[in-house]
Amino acid sequence: MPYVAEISRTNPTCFIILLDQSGSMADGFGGSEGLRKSDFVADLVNKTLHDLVIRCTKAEEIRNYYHISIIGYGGSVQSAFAGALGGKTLVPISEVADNPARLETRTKKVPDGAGALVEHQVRFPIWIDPGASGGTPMCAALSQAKVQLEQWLSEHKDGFPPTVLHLTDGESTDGDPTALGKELLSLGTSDGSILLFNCHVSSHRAAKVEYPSGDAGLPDQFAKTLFGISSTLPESFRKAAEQTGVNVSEGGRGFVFNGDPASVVQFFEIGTRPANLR
Amino acid sequence: MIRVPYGLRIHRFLAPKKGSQPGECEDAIAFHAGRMVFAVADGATEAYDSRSWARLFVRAWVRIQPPVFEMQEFEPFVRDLGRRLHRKWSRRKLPWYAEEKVRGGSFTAFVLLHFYIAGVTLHWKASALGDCCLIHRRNLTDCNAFPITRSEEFGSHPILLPSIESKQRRALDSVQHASGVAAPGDDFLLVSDAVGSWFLKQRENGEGETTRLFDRLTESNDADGLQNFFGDLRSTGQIRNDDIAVVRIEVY
Repeated sequence: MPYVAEISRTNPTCFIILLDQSGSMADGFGGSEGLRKSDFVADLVNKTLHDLVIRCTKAEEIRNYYHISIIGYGGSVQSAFAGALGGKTLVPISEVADNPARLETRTKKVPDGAGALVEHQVRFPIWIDPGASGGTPMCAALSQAKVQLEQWLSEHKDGFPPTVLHLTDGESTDGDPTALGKELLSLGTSDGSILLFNCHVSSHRAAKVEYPSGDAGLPDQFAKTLFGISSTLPESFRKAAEQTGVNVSEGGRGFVFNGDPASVVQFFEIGTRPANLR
Repeated sequence: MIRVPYGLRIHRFLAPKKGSQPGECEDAIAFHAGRMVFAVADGATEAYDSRSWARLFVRAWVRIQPPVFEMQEFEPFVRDLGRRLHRKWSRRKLPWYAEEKVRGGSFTAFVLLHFYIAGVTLHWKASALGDCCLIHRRNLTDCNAFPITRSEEFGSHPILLPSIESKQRRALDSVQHASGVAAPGDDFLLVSDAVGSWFLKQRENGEGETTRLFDRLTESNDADGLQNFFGDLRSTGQIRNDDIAVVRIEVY
């Protein structure tokens, strides 16, 4: 049975986040004037990294259960890490934890135990900054992900398969990503194929589609293309989806089309929830 | 003077999950043979410094005389322990991630057992929270488990004892109690969840041979033998790769 390998220091897994940083990411969600997609997504990726670090924290030690890459693509295709990690790929989570570009102070509301919320000042790490320029070189980004995956897989043949979380707001400007997507999906460990999940956020007002099991109801060919290179959600991810309030039918794929901010948050939450931490 | 016609033979085994060091084991064991008190705790893997919380809890509990079971004594007891642990953490300069995780506190499951003599009868009393388990066997055949009675009940998300004071009351409301009478030939196992789940499954499937080997190894305090035994069970997928805590008390 695939996707059951334990995730441990000796048997880590890997997350690669592919982030569209094209010029249109400076627009608001659904074409609105409000929150810029690039700002929202950068904040969400920082929050996701924060949560992954916290999950690996044991007392004052970080256990290297995960290796992380963030590939930003737009005007260029490169590691999206800022600060000391700039240019680095497949970074062990302990190194991620110890090297945010900066720590900001934020206010967080936490339960006081008596049913109310109290505000706390907390240190919030920033690893990536928003980016929005150029076209959408999706194929180049997938190629770079493939190179990194092949490198990682050569050293981790039996681990929990890597997860690639891809977020985009538009069609590829450097060709059809289908062949490269399929090449990625053909990679894997003895525990299963790599997991490629795709989340599309819309620049127009349109009905969203979340975790479909077929492409019949998808609005256009681009949606079908992304669906075609999205992995079926393994059982543990479907359970994670249920916990976030999303019901995914068996055979449902890690694919969101025309996502709004809430669905992007859920996408990252579900996609970074492989079970079996040891 | 009435001569007490009972004795207790005590065996223990504590081991970290495969891939971890002994100093990383989040299960904890403590007992005081003279006072006939025994405790096993299982610190939550995803919480902060659960090893410290589990160890602090069991060690403090077996030191208290008489042992505390009732809510009016138990609640201040765990409140003080939680405060002590958080004071220890607050004295340190922590990196941002540890600081964040400390805010969530620590959690542990536990099972506690106390024997006492009334007249000439040996009684036992137990408390438990979460998925640590007490298994009481009579002549190694009849078997009662507490608070979990069937193997499939493991693996859910049990309520655990938090180190944070404001969260404790709600958890303490879920503590379960059991009591009974013990007799020579009885056998009590206090175990953390991995062993509890495996042991009950063996009983349910009527597979006695493996448990007999487990009994022989614990009786002879064969730590290497038990290490290999659980290693084999792990490699064949019969037991989850988790920390292991076993206290076995034979009444004679």
